Amino acid sequence: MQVTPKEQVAVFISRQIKNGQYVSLGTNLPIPSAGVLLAHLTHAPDLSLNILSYFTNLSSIDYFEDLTQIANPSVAKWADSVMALETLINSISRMDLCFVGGVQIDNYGNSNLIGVGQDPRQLKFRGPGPVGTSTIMSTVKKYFIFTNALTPKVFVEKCDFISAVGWGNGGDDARRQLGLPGGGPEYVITPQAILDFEEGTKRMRLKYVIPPATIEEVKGCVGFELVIPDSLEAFPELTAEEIEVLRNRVDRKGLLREGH
Amino acid sequence: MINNGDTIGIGGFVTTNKPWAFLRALMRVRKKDLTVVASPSGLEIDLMVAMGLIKTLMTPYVGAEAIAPVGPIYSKQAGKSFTIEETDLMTLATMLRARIQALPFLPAWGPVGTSLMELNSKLRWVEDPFGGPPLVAVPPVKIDVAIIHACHADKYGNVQHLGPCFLDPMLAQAAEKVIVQVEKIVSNEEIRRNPLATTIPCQQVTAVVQAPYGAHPSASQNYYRLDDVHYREYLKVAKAFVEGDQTLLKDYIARYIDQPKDLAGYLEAVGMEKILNLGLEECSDAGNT
Repeated sequence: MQVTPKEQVAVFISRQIKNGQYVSLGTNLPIPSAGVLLAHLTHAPDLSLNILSYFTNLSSIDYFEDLTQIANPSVAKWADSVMALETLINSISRMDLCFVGGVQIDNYGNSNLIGVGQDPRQLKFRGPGPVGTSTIMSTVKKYFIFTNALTPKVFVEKCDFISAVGWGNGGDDARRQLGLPGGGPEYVITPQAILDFEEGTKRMRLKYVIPPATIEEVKGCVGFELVIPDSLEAFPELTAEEIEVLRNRVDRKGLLREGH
Repeated sequence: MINNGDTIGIGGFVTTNKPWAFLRALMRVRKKDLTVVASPSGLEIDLMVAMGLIKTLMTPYVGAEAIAPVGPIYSKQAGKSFTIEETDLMTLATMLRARIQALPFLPAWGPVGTSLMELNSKLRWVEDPFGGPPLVAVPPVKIDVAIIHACHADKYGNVQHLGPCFLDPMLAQAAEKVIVQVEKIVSNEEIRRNPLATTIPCQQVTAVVQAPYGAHPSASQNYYRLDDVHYREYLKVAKAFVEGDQTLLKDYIARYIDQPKDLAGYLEAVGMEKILNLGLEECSDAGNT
């Protein structure tokens, strides 16, 4: 079977992770979970992996039965420590990588989990709330924005509300001017395309298109003018080991292969 | 112990260890105009909003993750029937910390550059006396009564979570009064056998109530997993309400809140077979250890 876009995205995430880093996984993000676990089972056995309130090392686990069940309390069976929420959030500045989603994501990587509309008393849609993201994204060493929805409704010129600051109003020094200790968003990851931020302006830029998506399709899915580099590299090939571990140990149920 | 207009603190985390038994009792007597300060919340907030009990809400999240990305009635009514003081988790913890330490404020990064400054009336800018850029001053939050669910406590109120304790110890330290509902009241000897497991000491606890299965439909650590079937049943009710049909909600409230005269009555309304099937692990998950 051909590799699917979601599998490619998981491999991209896996390759961004270095052995020994401290990565924190939230709930309800199966593709980032797959990427992190793939790294952990291959080149990053010494990952400090923090899932919910638990610290755990999963590198010796033969396989995971169900990817959607990783970030839930059943992970307790593998934990080597349990933290109070307070201890966990006190560790944010030590974390190397976290993930954030959004009901809106803008041109400069600011994200919105608060809601859509102008007047907070008359919102068109009220979102679930910032969860931990305002502080995590201000402070974590770097983060990836992840969403399954590459659509003009989500990718807007300007967020109606900002729950986590990316590159603010743009520019390399946007975060420095605010004084934010963390490194900001590095990639925006979707199953159709991987985007980064242009040096200097910090406007969102296309990095990889993931077939069958095309450049034109991706441009049409974004509600602002995406920076398109003069030449685009093809998405790097997956190795046989990556595919083998992903399918047989990380994602046995084939969540990332659904619909293909 | 709780009056109309009080500020209550709710412990637990999303769909784990939510003190539903106590909250249902509060809903039954329709205590209203409540200010609710809560750790990330599940659908108990949605139901309280539906019943018109909440005036002001301070919580970083309302939803049930994969089951419901956002509480439907909360989402529909936000800003209309109740006010949200926007906060993220660390900012909320900072409010509790300021209260615990009797400080007028603590500085924080979270709201800097976000819309929290315009959506939370309590936050102010503060200059860094050491010459850095401005930060946000987070004031203390006063909580009249905190409500917490845990595994075990003794009759003195020494509480053991036997798992993650979320923001519960901070809530207990910050609140004027603390009520803890537990799966089981155990002997003081049992607590003393492992004092390292005590998460909230008795000095901080006003009352302990034995409430077996009292977190249902949320999960209770070491006792049972969340009842996703019940959450989905509630979601149907909530979605109908959002679409203008209140009958299902009225039925739900009658069946699960008003008619049961106590916790046992509630559990009977849910069905003992369903309750007892909420063992910790589903069988399919047991092979890989």
